Amino acid sequence: MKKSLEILLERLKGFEKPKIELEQYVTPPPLASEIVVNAKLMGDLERIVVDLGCGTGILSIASSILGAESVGFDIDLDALRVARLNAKAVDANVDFVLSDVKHVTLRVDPKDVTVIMNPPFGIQRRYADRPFLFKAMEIANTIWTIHSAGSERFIKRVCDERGFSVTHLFKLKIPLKRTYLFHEKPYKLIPVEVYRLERYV
Amino acid sequence: MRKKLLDILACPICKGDLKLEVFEENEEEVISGKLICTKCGTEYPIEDGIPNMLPPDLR
Repeated sequence: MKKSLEILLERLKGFEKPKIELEQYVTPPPLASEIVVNAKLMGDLERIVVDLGCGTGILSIASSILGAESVGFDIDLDALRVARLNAKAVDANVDFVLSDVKHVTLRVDPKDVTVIMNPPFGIQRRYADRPFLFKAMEIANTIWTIHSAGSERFIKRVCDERGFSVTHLFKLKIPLKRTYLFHEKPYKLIPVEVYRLERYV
Repeated sequence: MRKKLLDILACPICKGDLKLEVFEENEEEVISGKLICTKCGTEYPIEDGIPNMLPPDLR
């Protein structure tokens, strides 16, 4: 399941002109596939999947392919247009919505929502990942989220404050394709952390 | 957007339910139209299949 999903996701298009201020990078297909397959095995795709900062849609599309009803939100209309084409290209039924993360508002109970997201790491703009994490904790009881290495203390503190616990933590290195001119090599391995969070109160 | 997105989204200003007005649709989804909050009346345009849920002052 994981490899065939990965091959399908390799066909998706990335950002036409990535916007540095939004830290737009495509989640590498092997990582997207890994996360979504694990989410499926844990039953997390039986809920509505919300992808905050979905960009060109890889996580929401992957979730849909594995059977979830999924919706992607992003502030960048150009990215959403690519996301729609991507979904059509692989026959996935995903809705994409233009919104900034703070204004994402659902009428669904958080127990029926899983957020799966790859928020900005906050490298260009410090703390850029925070509004994503806070919104996810507002709208969902289960969260899969990707952060830069060294986020553990921060994530655990926010979890404590808001009644969540870290049920799984994967530390891995992902190859990032050269996206911006200031990237010197065609590929760079960067260490990331993937968290699965669950509300306990 | 597919019509069942109405079961998921709420108004970002007052959390009210939304109703749909369709200008153009195909077999799968709504291509253009608007979402209207049944409580505060704010309208959110749908263009090229993408609803714009930004509050009016942020568009």
